[in-house]
Amino acid sequence: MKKKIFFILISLIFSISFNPYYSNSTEKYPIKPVIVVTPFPGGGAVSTISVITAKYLERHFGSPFIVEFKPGGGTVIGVTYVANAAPDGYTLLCAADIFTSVLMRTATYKMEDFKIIAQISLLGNALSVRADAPWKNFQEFVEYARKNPGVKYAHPGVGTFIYFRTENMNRKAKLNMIGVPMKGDTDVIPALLGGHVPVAVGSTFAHKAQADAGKTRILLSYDKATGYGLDPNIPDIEEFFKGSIYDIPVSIYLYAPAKTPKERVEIIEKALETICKEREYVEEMKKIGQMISFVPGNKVMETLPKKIETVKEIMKETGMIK
Amino acid sequence: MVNPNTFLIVILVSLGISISIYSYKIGIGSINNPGPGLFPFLLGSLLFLLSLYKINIFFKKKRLDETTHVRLFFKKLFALLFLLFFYAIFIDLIGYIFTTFITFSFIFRIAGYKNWFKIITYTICIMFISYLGFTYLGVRLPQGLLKMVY
Amino acid sequence: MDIFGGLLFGFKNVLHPDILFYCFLGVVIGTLIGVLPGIGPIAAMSILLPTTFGLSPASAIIMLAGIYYGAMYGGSTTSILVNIPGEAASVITCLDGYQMAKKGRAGPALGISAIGSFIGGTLSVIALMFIAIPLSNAALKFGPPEFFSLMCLSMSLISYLARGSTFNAIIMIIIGLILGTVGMDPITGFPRFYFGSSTLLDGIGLIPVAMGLFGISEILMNIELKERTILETKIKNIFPTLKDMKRSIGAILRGSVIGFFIGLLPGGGGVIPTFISYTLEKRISKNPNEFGNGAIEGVAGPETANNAGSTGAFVPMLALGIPPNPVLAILFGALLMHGVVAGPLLMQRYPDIFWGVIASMYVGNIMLLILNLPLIGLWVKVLKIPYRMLMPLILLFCLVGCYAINNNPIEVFIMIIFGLIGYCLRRLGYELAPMLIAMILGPFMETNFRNSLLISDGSLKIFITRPISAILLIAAACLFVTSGLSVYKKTKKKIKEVVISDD
Repeated sequence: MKKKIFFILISLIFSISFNPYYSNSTEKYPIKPVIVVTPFPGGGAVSTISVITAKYLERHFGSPFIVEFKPGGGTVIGVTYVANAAPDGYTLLCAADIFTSVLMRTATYKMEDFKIIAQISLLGNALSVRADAPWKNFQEFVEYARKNPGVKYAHPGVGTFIYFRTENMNRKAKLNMIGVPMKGDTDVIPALLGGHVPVAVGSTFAHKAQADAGKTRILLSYDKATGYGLDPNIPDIEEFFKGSIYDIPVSIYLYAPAKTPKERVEIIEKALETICKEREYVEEMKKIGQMISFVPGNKVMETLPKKIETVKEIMKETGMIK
Repeated sequence: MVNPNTFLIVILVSLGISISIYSYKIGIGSINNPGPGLFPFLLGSLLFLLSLYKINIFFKKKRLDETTHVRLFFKKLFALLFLLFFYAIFIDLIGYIFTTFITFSFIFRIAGYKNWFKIITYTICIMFISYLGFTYLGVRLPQGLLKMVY
Repeated sequence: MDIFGGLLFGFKNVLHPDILFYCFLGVVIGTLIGVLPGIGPIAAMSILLPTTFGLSPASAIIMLAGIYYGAMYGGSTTSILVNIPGEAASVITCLDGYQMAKKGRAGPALGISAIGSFIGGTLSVIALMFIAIPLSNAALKFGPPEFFSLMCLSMSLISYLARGSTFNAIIMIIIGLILGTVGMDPITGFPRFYFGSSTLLDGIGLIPVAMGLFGISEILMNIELKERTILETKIKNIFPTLKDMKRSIGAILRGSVIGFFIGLLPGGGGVIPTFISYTLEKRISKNPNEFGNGAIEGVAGPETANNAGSTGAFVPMLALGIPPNPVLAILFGALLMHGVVAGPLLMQRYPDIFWGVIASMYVGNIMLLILNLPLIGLWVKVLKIPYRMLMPLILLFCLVGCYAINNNPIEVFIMIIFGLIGYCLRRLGYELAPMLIAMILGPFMETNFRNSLLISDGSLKIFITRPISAILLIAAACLFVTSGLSVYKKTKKKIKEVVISDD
């Protein structure tokens, strides 16, 4: 009888140690396909970033990285899915900042549910006017806006980062503009082209396409113009306001569930660092309006609180939260 | 049994009132500067007024042939609704295969089949064919309890 | 490159076996996806997106585009056969299509829908070729005030959808509008009526509601039937008769025009052209009472408008580089992943893709016609299946289809709840189509109203001072007045009757 119990105990111990859930980091990773969840429908900017990044990661590891689109709830659904996923390093999240839903109290996850693996790129934003507009550069526009409060600008929507970013600049630089919310770049551009609003803000990618065709003129690139293949004469916020405004960049990160083993997170982090140096990757990302800007996870965590505070302030001032 | 028509009108009236109150609370702004509540407020109020008017007509018409006494609910209906809700609740929990099996066995029964052997066979057939078919099309159906088997 | 030269160039590129294969694959998958309720072209395209990486950009786009308008063809199939909209835009087809099926005329319904779609699609491609650029510039003139007025016009048409009491229809419309307010307020971001559910933040989904209101409610209504099939009478013909064709040709031509022009507006395509076509046909028909009971124009017009609309949606995409709806946004993204920026310079920079896509649309439309017509005989047989077998199958497709949209069981809940609501309302004599359409139009109307006021600094004059907006508003007002008058007359008559019988 005692022998039986002994054998049962031994086999239990063996089976537990062979169970993949308890494997330690000396096991090779990744050995099965990694799912990269993106909380947007296919075709959008972040979705395309996910697909391209997954492609390069797959090339790097020689093991599949598959993108899954999980749109809904203004990114909440996809993000929550990853927050609740098994923290074994086989489910990752590719998205921009996810704290906005937390601030608006519509999130079904907490920031603590995630580890930021690294920042991959900065999504370019631009401010454009029509080609026949009276302002030839941003300086002229700023002077006009300050003297004539109430200039209307179209933006892709009240929950978007570009909206917060623009409002941040609008208020701190006293531009007195009034935002007209639309549904994404695809509604903003026709509003500008059709003359319904004098100014539009949105992704550099969409604005550059119109500017290249000569229909619009980009007055301001929020981040460094040359990083997106724009005319170097176009100023960026840092340069124009000489650092007097704290700008909120639109960062794209790769996240993992919080309890993912540190070693696996570091493996991905190092891989990202490597591919961010690959010329091909940088060019491909540039084409879709992204400037590669690798920042390791721990550095991101240092700058994140100030970002969150600034956005929170804007949300309060615009009445989104109390 | 409560006359369903009256029941509906009561629901409409109360909906109208509650929506108007809620919308008013979230801020209606003015017609020149609408707040989030303006539109729903107008709609809620309209609904309230129209349902009141309907009560008016309804009482006048009570003796005419409008569908005043309609029997809405049957045993089968309740059973089917229960099964459908069951499906929605459990599909993520116990997985596609098991939920489909349990639910559709009973659905076939409600549909009219009496022979349990036939029912189980049909259920298993559609279960597998649909699982394979949908998975082939790229739909990810939840594993649920199957996870324990792996 | 002039237009005919471009077209020839496009055909030269397209008429290769491998590209033809991808076109064919796309339209077949599209048709299949359209037939399956719930899963729409967006899901299919997202899933197939990675597989297009190995292909040339032209092949990838042609295949994905094929899925899009293929789904429009297939979507009408389930609408007609079992009253379940295969995808959102096919909702209107349920109204008369299903009635035709019950009367044994499913074949003609399916047939005219395929033929109408073919004609609508082809005419739209021709229009696309010639007037895409000037038209897209004109379409830019549509801003928030114009859209609001267009919505007002549409609202005045909604009551025409109803067969019965207009008063009841108005209540349904108001409920629909209220349902449309659920979700994040587009201007301030304030979450309205969302009860803490992140699913509801985007609003009550259109597809679960449509499937519930039409499909599930139909099943609930039929549940007490003993031994039956959907057919109420014998099957009359498999294909549309000459008489059917004669009646429909007008609807088809009008549907093509309506579909194309509305499809090219931003946010274009979808339900709006189909519903406008339906109400227009009913308005100008010599026998409006047939509508809702199986009038073939009620199928021909909307289905044509549907296809023409999806083709029209390509106009802003190809001419301005702006995808007007989420489906085309995926196409746009696919091009992007192949390094092609589909901006306003697409025609100059990538003529092979531009003309290739256009040429493939002609080919695709022909393929779809050839594919769908023979299948009609097969589909009609489905109606003969005993209901006790058919009903579980339909339910399974609905449940899984709805779940598969976003793998979200809450949407399945919504579908079931609306099924119950639809059932109760139908039994009590209310109509569902007005509610659904109002739910779709409501948010458009509100957002554009508020945006217009933002642009005008709070002045309501903006709606009248802008010419297009003013014209649309006047048209809406006229329609309101005329239908209001007829309702007033009807109600007066009814009250008179009541008073008389009271004595």
